[in-house]
Amino acid sequence: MQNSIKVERARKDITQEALAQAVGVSRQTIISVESGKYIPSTILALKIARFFHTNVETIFTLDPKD
Amino acid sequence: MIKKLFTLISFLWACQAAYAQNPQAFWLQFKKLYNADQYTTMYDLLAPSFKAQMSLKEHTAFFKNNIKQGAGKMNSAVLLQYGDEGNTFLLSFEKMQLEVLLVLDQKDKVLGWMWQPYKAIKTPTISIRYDNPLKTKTDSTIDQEARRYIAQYPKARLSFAIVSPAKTDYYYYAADELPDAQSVYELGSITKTYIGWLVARAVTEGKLDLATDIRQYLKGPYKNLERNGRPILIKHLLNHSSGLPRLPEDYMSFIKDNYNPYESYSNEDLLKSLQKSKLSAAPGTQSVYSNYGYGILGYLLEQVYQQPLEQLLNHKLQSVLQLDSITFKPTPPLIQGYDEGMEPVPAWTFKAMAGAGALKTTLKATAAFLQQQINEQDKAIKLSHTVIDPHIQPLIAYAWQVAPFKKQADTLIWHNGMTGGFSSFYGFFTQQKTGLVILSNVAQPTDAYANEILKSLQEQ
Repeated sequence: MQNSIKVERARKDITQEALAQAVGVSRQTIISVESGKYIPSTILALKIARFFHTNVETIFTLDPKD
Repeated sequence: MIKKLFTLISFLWACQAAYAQNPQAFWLQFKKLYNADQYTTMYDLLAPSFKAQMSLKEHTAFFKNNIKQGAGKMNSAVLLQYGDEGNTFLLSFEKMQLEVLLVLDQKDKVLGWMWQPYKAIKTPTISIRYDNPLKTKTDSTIDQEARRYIAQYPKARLSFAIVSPAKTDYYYYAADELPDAQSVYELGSITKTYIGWLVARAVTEGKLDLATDIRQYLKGPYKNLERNGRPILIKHLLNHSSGLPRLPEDYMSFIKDNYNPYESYSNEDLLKSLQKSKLSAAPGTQSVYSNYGYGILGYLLEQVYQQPLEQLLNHKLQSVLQLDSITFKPTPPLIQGYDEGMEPVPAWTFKAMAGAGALKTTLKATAAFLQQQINEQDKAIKLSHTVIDPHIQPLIAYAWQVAPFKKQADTLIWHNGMTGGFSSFYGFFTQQKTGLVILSNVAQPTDAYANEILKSLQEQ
């Protein structure tokens, strides 16, 4: 699974730390989610999407190869 | 009118000396002289620098004509707050309360003071309603923890139950409207323990075998649902050791509504996702908490019993345990849930993932189910507390987390849950045979609060 968290962060100039604080998780969790190693819980996915004022499916898209 | 009269008298010297030496003694003396109309003697309470700014005549006129006439005799003075410039006191008079910012010099003489009507500070202190007899230590701990939670999350309407084999005590807390035994909450992942019981029930009824390859119930080859020659067995779904991820890999693309992430994902979607899923480890080797796995268990139970999951669960709860019905649907009297930032959010609805967290029910029903866990009279309930694989950490039974509790020779069997607008905890001690339920309509975990209450239960 791919996601555009990194792109969204860059667009809004938000650090991993700031995003982590805003959604109430550790920076390590954000790193794992960004790299696709960790599938977030629905609640975390919703919080991240809401933080960027967009939909979960916009942030988290399937890798076309999957 | 009065407000205008009681304006600033002198404040120019406030910064010179901010050390009131003995304000209580000062106010005692002030009160004595003021109540006795000894304005001239009172004038000597002022420091020379203040006297130079205010004549005896002005001084007397202020206290005699304004304060005495408007407020009457003085009763008391209490400190309201310390300040850099001086300390503020609340003075109570017969007819009103006045607020005085007082600056004394080192000899306790008045360098300056400011008199004004007392405006009660709009403190955000919430008055908390509650239903708690406050008799036992546990009652007090619940009181303390409920207040601590509501102070942080003021929208919370909290329900607690302390459950023992023959008796249940209920407690309710809220800043506004108290919930009651009939208020419906979303239980979130606590649902998994109900599914665990249904699986145990199917085992005791001879309808399921934990060692069955789950592909027996899926249509299609599903070559991907094995690793190192090890297929996913039903027991691997129970203790989250299937190797399947937390959610289907393609799951996020199904979330159309940021406030209702499970509403559209159907059994057909689930079966398609299963064709593509990759196992992160061989089944039965590692634990990865998986809503996906419990969605599948729900689907398997539907296949076994040829009944929709909600209907099956209700049927079993009523016929086997004689418990009240539950619902998967957000119907009244479901109370309003709030997200982590205290915004009201809609309830969650479910299709294929119902087994992971769809349950909505009351404190009374949840406590009754927990009481049956404590009593262990139903064979399936007893079975559902068996740890699936003691080699896999954390220890998990049929959804239940199994944890030794601190130094006490006791075991806590528990689960918690969270949805977009609710959080919950329930668990019980197997030896002491007492249990705790906490239901909250705010998506902020209750675990830490539960831990304090559990500790006090153990000490009782």
